[in-house]
Amino acid sequence: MLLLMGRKPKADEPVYSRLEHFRTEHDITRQQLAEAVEVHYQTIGYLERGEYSPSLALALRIARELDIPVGELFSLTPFTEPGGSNEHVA
Amino acid sequence: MSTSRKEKNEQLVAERAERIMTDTRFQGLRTRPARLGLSVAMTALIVLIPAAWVVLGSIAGIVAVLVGIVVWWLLRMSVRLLADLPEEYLDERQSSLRNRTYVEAYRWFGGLVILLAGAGLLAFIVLGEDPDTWRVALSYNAIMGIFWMLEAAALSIPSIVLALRDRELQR
Repeated sequence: MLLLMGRKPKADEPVYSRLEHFRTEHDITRQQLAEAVEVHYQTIGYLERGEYSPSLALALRIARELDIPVGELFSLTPFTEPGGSNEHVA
Repeated sequence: MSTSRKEKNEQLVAERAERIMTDTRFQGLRTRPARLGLSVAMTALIVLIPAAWVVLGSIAGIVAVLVGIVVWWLLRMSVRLLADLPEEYLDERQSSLRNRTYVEAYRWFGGLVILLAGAGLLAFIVLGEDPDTWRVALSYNAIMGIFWMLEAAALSIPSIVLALRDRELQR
């Protein structure tokens, strides 16, 4: 079983984000979005730069706040549409 | 603690957490060079505090401890008390960052204690002519030096690791 599981990779799988694109499209600040989804405003910055991979619950809360399907905001593959962050997750 | 006192205490912690998390007065401390400088200064003080007690005496030791308290406070401000605040005041990223920080901080502190214990054991074996009868004689200043060094290390290492780890606290 242990052999099947293998060693955990050091870096997480990259998650790509279009959060900044949709946030500015909705004309709301990082602070406003942070308050709405109950995180620190810096965490929104980390998400926008692709430096932090959100939990499923946080990703869903942000998607609900921006009224966008979660798959439009975050993806495991780079976005081809404008506004995609091709940053690697920390 | 009575309920009202507990509630009052929780309210005070909540207000402090809110104030620190939204604080913009200390942004200068949250830049990468400033956090690096504070981390280096605090690390140096962990060594200098016992040196001051043992080599220079009690007055110098007390001054070194006071300087250590100031640098420790600045260091904690630079990381927004992330190492010390209760879990419920942190969001998921901050919480995850703190968990990783404490694992690393524990390794550093454990390493320091092992190093000190190892050095003490080695000194005991090498310097003691007859290990069965040799007694360790420590002066008041030596005890104070060891106490304050361990205190400074235990309290500041989590914030040092956090300051070095979180690349963009100021953004």
